[in-house]
This record gives sequence, C-alpha cells and structure tokens, in this order.
Amino acid sequence: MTDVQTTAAPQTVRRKKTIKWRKVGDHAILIAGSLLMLVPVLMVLTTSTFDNVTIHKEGIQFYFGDQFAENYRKAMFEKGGFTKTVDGARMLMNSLILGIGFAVGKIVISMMAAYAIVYFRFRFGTVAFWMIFTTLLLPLEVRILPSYEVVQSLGMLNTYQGLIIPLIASATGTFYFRQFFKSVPEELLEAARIDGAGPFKFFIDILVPLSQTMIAAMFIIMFVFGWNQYLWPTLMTTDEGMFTLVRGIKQIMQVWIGANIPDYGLAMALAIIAMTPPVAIVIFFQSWFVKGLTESDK
Amino acid sequence: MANVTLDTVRKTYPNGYKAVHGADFQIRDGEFIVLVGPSGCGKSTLLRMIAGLEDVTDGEILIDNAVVNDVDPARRDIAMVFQNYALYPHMSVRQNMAYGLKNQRMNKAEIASRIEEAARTLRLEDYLERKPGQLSGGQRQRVAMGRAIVRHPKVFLFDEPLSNLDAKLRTQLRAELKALHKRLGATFVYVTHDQVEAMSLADRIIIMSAGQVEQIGTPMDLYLRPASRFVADFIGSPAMNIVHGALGEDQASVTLADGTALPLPIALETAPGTKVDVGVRPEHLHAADATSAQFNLTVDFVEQLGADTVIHGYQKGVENPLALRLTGIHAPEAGTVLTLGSDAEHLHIFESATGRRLN
Amino acid sequence: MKRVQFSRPLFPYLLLVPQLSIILLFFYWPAAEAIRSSFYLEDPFGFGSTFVGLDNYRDVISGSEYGSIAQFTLVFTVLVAFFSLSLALLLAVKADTIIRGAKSYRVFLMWVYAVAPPVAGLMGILLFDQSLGPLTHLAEFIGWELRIGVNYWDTATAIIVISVWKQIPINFIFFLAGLQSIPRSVREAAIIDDPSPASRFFTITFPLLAPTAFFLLIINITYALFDTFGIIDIVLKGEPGNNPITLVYKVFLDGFRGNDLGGSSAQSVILMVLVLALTVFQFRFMERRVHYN
Repeated sequence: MTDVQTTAAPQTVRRKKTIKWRKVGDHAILIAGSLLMLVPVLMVLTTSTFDNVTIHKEGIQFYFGDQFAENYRKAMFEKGGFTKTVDGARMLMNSLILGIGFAVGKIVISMMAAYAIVYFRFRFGTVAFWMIFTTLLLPLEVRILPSYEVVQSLGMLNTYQGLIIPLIASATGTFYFRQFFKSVPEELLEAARIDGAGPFKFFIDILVPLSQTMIAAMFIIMFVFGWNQYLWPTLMTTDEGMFTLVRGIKQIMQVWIGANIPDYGLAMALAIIAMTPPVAIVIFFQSWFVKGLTESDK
Repeated sequence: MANVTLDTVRKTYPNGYKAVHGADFQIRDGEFIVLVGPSGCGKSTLLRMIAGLEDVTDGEILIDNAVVNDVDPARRDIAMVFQNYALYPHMSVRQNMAYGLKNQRMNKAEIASRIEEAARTLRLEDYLERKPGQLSGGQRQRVAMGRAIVRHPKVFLFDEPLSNLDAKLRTQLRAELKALHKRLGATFVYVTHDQVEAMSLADRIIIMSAGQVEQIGTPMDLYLRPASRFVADFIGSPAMNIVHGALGEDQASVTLADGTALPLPIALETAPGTKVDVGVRPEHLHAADATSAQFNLTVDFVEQLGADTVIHGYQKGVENPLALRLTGIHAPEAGTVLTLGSDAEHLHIFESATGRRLN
Repeated sequence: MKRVQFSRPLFPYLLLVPQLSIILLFFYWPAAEAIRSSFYLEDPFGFGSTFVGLDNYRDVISGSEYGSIAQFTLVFTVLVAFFSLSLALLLAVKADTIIRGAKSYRVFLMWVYAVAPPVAGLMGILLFDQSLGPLTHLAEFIGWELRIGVNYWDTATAIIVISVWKQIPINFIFFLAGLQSIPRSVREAAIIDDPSPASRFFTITFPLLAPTAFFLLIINITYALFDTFGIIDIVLKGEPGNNPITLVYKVFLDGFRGNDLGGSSAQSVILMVLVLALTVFQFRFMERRVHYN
C-alpha cells in the first residue's frame, strides 16, 4: 500500500504542472494578441500629444507629451482643409448625423418592411420579399458610379439625405428583423388578436417593446457602420462643410503631401477623435453588440 | 355563458392537407368539454377555429346561437389559454391581464376590480407587478388563466395548458381548473393529448383521430363502451388487451391464429369468418377455472405498483401480449400460466378491417 | 412565415413603401444603369452615348493593367482572409478555454472592429512611415528597407498588414460565438473519448465550427474585395502611381478620375457577377455541407 502511494504522488504533481504550463501559454498568446490590437493605437495616442517638430525629429513617441490640449484644440476648433471652412467639431457633428441618421432610418424602415413580410398575407408578398433580399447580394461599391449619378440627378449631392438614404438601400436590417420576428412565438400574436389588438396596435404595443434589445444591438452596429463610411461620403460631399471625420482623414492626407513638416500631431489627434465614439459605444454596449452581430447570420 | 355548435366544420389547409374532416357536435352551456387525441388529429385546429385564429373551410361555428365564422377573435367573447402561456414578456402580470380589457375601452376602475378579483381567485395578488420572466411555470400558467378570467368570456378555450408543467404541478392545477369551472359555471373547451387529463376533467370527451371525431361521450361512456378500436386503445392505462382472430362458425367464439378457440359469452350477428379484434381491459380480467377460461396468460414480468400489480405476459400459443391488473400485491413466477375470464359486458369486439365495434 | 397572419388589404403595402422606394431608387436603378452603360460609349463632353456592344468589356479585359490588378486582388484576398481568419481562430480558441481575465481579453480583441478602415490606414502609414515609423525601423533590423508608396510589394505588405489587423476582431467575435455554441455535453463526450486536445480540436471542434468558418470566409472575401477601399486609398494617399490596387479601386479610378463611364461600368458588372457567383456558391455549399444545425 505505502509503495503504491509513494510512486503515485510525484505523478500527480507532474500532471498538475503540465496543465499549468498550457494555461500560461494560452495567456501568453492572448496577451500578445491584445497587444497587437492595442499598441498601434496607443502609439498614435501618445504621439498625438507631441508637437510636430519633435515627432518629425524623433519619430513615434511611447509616452504622453505636453501638447495634448494644443493638438486636440487645433483638431477640434481650428478651421482646416483647402477652403478653411471646416473644423473638427463640425466634422464630428456631421459624423454624428450620418451615424445616427443612418441607424435610425435603417431601423425604422427595415422594421416596417420586416413586419409586413412576416406578419401579413398579401399579393406580391413574395415578389417584395425577393426584391428586398436581392439587395443583400451587391454591395454599394460595385454600383458606386451609377449611384452617384442618380443622387446627382436628384440634386442630393452635399446634402444629408443624399449621404444617408442611399446607404439604407440594402436589406441587412430587414433581414435581421425578419429573423427576429420569425422567432417570436406565434401564440403571442394569437393572444394579442384575442385581446383585440389590430396590426398597428400589435406592432406598437407588443412587437416593438419586444424588440428592444434587438433594436439596441442594431443601432450600435448601424451607427458604427454609418460613422465609418468612407467611399460614399468621399464622392458625395465636395462641400467641406459636409465632411465627416472619416472623410476628413483624406483631406489631411492631401494637405500633408508637399508640406515641409507634415502636421502629424493634428492628423493623429483627428484619427483618435474619429475612432473614439464608435469604439466607446462598442466597448460600452459590448454584449448587445456581439449578440446583434452573431445572431444576424442565422 | 353560451353553447357552442359546430355544424359539419371542415378545415383544409392551402397546401391541401385536410386537418378536420367534418366535425358536427354541440357543446352545452356551462359544460366542460375535452377534445382529446394523438398529436396531429385535428383537435388543436378545431379549437383554433372556435377561437377564430384559423379560418373555417366549410361548415358553420355558432357561439350562443350566432354564426361566428367571420367574426374577429376579439369579438367572439371567448378567452384562450395557450400551451406556452403566450404572456407578453415586457408587460407586468397586471398589464398582461389589463391589455385585452384596455383594448375594449373598459374604464379603469372596472379593469382594476376585475384584476383584483382574478388575482384573488388564482392567488396571484403578490405577483401583479412582476414580469412573466420572474415567475415559475405554474405561476405563469395561472397568469394566463387570469388573463382569460378577467374578460368574463362566454367560452374559455384551453390549448394543452398543462403540458409544459411537471407531473406534480399538473395534478394540482388540474384540480384547480376543475374548481374554477365549478365557480365560474362557464363553458370550457379544453384540448389535450393526455387521456388521464381528459378523464379527470371532462363532463364529456370528444375523442378525435386523423381529423375525424371518433366518439363523443362522458368519460365512463368512453371507458365502458368505446365505439371503436381506436377509442378503446386510447382510453385507459395500461392499454386494453387486444387479441386478433376470426369469428367462428357459431358466431360465439373467436378462432385464434394457432387454431384454438376463444369462447365468447355472447353471440354476434356478424358473418362467420370475419376478422375481429377482441378487447378486454387488464382490470376486467379475473381468475377463472380452466373450463370457462377465455384467456391463458403466460407470465413474462410483473410491475408492482403498490396499490395494484400489473402482470405482463402473452396469450399462450399465439404470442399475443396480454396484461392483467390486480389490486394489492401479487408476485407470480415468470412462466406461470394463468387462466383468466371476463364478464360479457367487459368484452369489446371490433371488426379488424374498420375498427368498428360489433357488440 | 407565420401560421397566422393578418390580412389587411392596404397596411402591408404602406409598411413596405419606404423600403421599396429606397431600393428601387438607389439599388435597382443604379444597378440597371451600370449594366446599361457598360454597353455604351459615353461622349467625353457629355453629348450622348453610342451603343458599342461588348466593346467595353473587351477593352477592360484586354487592357494590360486589368490582368495584373485582378491578380493582385486575388493574392491580396487570399492573404488577408488566410491571416485574419487563422489568427482570429487561434485567439478565439484560447479565449474560449481560459476563464481568468476572459472578459478583458474579449474587449481587447474586439474593439478594433469599431475603427474605420481609413483611420486604420492613417495609423498604418504613420507606423510604416519612411522616417518615423517604428515598423520601418523594425524591418531595418532584419535588413529589409521598407519603402511604402515607392516599392510595389512594400506598399502591398503595408496594405495587407493593416487589412488583416482591421479584420481580426470580427472574425474573433464570430469564432468565439461559434465555439461557445458548441454544446457542453459534446465537448465533455470528446474529452472522455480523446485525450489529446490538439486532435480533439481537429476532429470535433473544427468540424462543428465549419459553418461559422465558411460564413466568415465569405465575409472576409467581401471585406478584402470592397471594404479595404478606405485603407488602400489612404495608404496610397489618393495617388496610386504604380502601386498595387484592387479591382474596386480601379472601378473608382476609371469612373471618377478617368471619366471612362463605359469601362468603369463594365468593371462594375464584372464585379457584380463575381459577387453573385460567390453568393450562389455560398448557398449551394451551405445546403450541401452544413447539416449540423
């Protein structure tokens, strides 16, 4: 008996050790991955607090400098661009309008369409369904030039409508709400009908409150999507007063070319400002966002 | 309160599937009717047609002697309790109960008093402000009932309301339902696939199979004189013993597969040689001496349930399974042959081809 | 569709009007217009256009540039999809196994999802900058003189690195969700049947993750084809010169800079066919292979 025990003991110890090593390895990989995602942005953040001469001479900085207030003030409130008509605050507002307008518009329109498709029996229902879902096939980028021409012929260049509405012309939101509505138990509609709720009442009293989480998730995803638009705003807005932050990045680059000492501090500050709101929302409403994202493909 | 009449009601779905082949019956005012049958027999469709959730393909449904085929569910003066409760998850218990009344534009005081009354009846007073997600299954089921009660409907419709609950809770709620029916005196139409539920609750049972009404009657009617082999098999547990054979020349015995004759205590008028199924419930078999014996049960295994004992075996010679139910505790050895008989009134003879009762 | 539906004559149409009018105006009309103008030669001064049949397509395909751009797009797509998928899978598998700090890792690994591609591009060119970029200095250590914007493959490297970095988070999110949806009982059964974690991964986990991986593959291809536009445009500072570009970038260049409407439209149509083929393939494949759900 004692013999068996003495030989068994070291074995257990060794086994414990290997498991631990594997865990250390796992953490090492995850830490490396986290740093890979984090460090580039941190470097931009720290460097954005230095003046241009220092950056030009010494390169990327790894600590915070003393130009934070100055660079960010310049980025936010000093008019820039070719025509000197737009500042960061204005672009921030435009980005907000694009992000929120796009998200709200898309949610409202796609909820209505999804409600019609799931809960009503009507002629051309199938036709409408296919017309809407075909739009999932082709991204805006492949029909960008004719889209531009359509918007131009409607006189919607350099307007918020022209910026927002064409981006809504895809059925991702409708598809998403359709999936969700289909998962709502049928008995709920039946109970509501017995309770005397018509189509309008059922939508407002039952379905919309029930979709709260979905709406929130959708809002986050769509806000980030709208905020981050680049190609479409680049084409659509020639008036600098209409620039969004992400669109403004391109403008910085063009001022940059040919400059003696490029305005690095300003560029980096603007990059940080441009990413902060969507990043904050995604981190803050993480669970909704992940749920919305991963459930939309089912 | 009201009666409900179905006049040759049929249901065919757009894809051609015939769910109900022609239901024709009347539910009396204040009656507790249970629609029972295996899944897919059309019982839920029938209930949903009464509720107005499903269009009627053919025939008429009358509530309180008025045709309601084209009346909106909300205006039929019915209430329905669903299997999965169908409570509005974002509303409190109180709001759930009030929703239908609000839509009728009932005044607030009246709504409040009806909710108080229902909550008292169902012992839900402490839960009125909670959301359905914070309640147990049994409590949710009570809320669903409360939502029905506050409407003071002419007819209550129940669609398998207890099947999502565990066995103990089911028994308890069954008793509460029965008491509720007595109290309210309203017409109840209740759908279930559970024959025990049907037997214990119903004034009358409507038993359905494959879109057809097989039999309508009190639980004891169905138990004692099943109109078809299907009914005989569906009602009662353990299920009725069935022995296959052909009617003998004397029309008073059945020849089994191995040639042995099973004497019947009665003579039938059916042509000799007709294939028949002889049924007898396990509890209606009793020991008989060898001369008058009808069944020879070779014991296979024994289930001792305490109050009674179920002995499983087979008819000697033809391997036809047989069960015998005795009160008290018994322990026969496997392989023992028991000679059993049954009273004439407890023998059920069905034509094999149609399942129709012959005696 | 629902078993019980409302049947009101007008209401559903009212609900559909906004969505349908938007897609008709901003989807079907432009798409039809792209197809139409791909068969026409537009007068450069805007005086009408002439029908030229398949000439635009012939010009596009026979153009010396188009072949090399298509080739680069293919290489780019394969590399971006491969690296971002495999790195994300590795991280997701690790994040799925550990318990301590799982939440923090998750946040660190997914937040970059919210960074706009052109912002990522801007940060990229700073880090790859000729004089101040730490990545350029790093490359110098191994004797690689990175010259972004000057050397074709150096620029390509930068674009690929930035594109992969930007795409890891979304792949990570989906892989992690896919891993977490594998039933606990299945994992436990596998642990009992197979002692080696590595072989368990390849025989049990990965096959169960296949639907997610396939879905992500399509997403990544679409990303590399279209969504990387912002990164490329910023890295090239709007001046492609002889730097690598993708097919979408070429559509943009020819259409908006070159004013070659017909050629640009023909390229758009080619891309549409490509995307459609991809989608059809996706559905066919999904039906056949993915029977787990």
